[in-house]
Amino acid sequence: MSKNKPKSIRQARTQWDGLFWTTMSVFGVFYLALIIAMLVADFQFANWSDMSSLLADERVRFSIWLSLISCTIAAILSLWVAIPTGFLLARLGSESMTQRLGQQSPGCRRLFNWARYFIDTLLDIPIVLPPLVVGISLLVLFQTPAGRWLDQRTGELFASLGYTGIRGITYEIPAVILAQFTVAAAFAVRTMRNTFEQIDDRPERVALTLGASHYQAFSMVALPQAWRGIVAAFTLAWARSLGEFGPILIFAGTARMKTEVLSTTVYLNFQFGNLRGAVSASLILVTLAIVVLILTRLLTLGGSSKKGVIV
Amino acid sequence: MSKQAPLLVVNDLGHMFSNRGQKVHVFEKCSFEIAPTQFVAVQGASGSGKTTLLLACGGMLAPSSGEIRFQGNDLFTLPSSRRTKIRAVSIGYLFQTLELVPYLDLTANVRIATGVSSSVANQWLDRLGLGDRCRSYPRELSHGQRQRVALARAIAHEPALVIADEPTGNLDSRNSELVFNVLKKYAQDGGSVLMATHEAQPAAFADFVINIENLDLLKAKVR
Repeated sequence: MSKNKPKSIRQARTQWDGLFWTTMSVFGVFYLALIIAMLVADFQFANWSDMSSLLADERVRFSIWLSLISCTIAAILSLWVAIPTGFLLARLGSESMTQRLGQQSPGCRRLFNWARYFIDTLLDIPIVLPPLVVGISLLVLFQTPAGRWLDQRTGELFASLGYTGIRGITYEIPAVILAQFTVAAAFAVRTMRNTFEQIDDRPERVALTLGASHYQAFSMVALPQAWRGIVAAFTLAWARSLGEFGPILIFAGTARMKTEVLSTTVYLNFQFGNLRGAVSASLILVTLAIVVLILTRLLTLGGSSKKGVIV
Repeated sequence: MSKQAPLLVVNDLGHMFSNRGQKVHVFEKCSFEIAPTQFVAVQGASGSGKTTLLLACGGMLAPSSGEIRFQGNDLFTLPSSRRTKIRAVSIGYLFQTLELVPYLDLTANVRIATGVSSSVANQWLDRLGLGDRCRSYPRELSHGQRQRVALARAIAHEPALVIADEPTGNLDSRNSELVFNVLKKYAQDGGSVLMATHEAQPAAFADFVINIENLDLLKAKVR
């Protein structure tokens, strides 16, 4: 059909298409240029000798190790919470569940939807709260009788395991992990919820019809389908934990060789006027983040939008 | 007719739906019984209601009228959890749309059925000529092969009743015969089979045939 159109119309359309794509690209390119410019400026500012002298510092090496370990533990804990919570939120909001409730009574469905929105909003609170507020809230929580009790029991547990250096939660390594987990888990839950929402629940319903238990339908049918989302949630939680600063500053402190992680190394160096050291520590953070993001992209390559389609 | 207590009793079953304000009767006054070891075929033209009848017998579609008793229980007066349990344990269903899970291999697909181990799943796949494809995925098979996987899944947990909706729909004559023989053997070994088919001569392998387009005749013949 288009071949029959007059040449002038085709030319005008091509010009408009070109303008459209150029305009769309310009906005994206601005932001991309900002990110690249920041990275280039960082790498230009700090040289290799700054980096090597930073890495020679035992306290910095400790903060790197603590960052790697605490981020991994926080990300695993986040997944532990995010997979079941994301699955529940996705399936409770599914069309089949809404229809089933609607058959019982419209009032019941409305109440259920309100409850779901409320829980959903609560789970988003750590994302929207200022990081310092998360830290203060955690600190206050561990000043309550229940918090103090848990703090004390945790100290005793670590002592019984031979880790006498960890005397509780607040201002100790567990506080670093808890502060990272509190924020990272919210992102992981959101990712897992979106993952399960995108997975067609029909294979699970078929499995239930054929005699699978709810656990089997979840573990044999839903979970294998969600592995890309699980990798993405883990990465997001890990990267988020790596960049966490505010809650750690308040709840775990910045004690060197004790609760210092990479983000606090940047802060401490900056605070003591060592800008080159701060930038070098930032570059380690940037490098780790880039490595994790590239690994995630490689691991989750080849995703198909037709995965949930039944044959 | 067998003297044994019937496994499935369908009594005055009718189903209708509304289409643009008009009531459409899929079938009416459908009555028959299936005893253990019986192989029953449902015959009828496309759109005559074979799948609807089978879904109702499988406890997955509430009929508009009549009752379905399975092992003495009125399926649609039971709580849905009880009905689900009966269906899961005692009924094997081969859907016309197969409903295989695309990202699970054949063994895992068959294992979805209640209490089926990997070795049992593989045995059934082997009996249906797919022994060398257990680790394959549904997308790697032809439609006919997928139909056999769906049959293995419907039969592997050895239910009292296997309901198969057009299990030979896309099979060549050799594979159709293989499927019929498996179902026939299953019925001879104590199970019952209710199968929708488009085959011209279902009486050749079935104990009796329900012609869904001529239900009055069926009632006179069966009861």
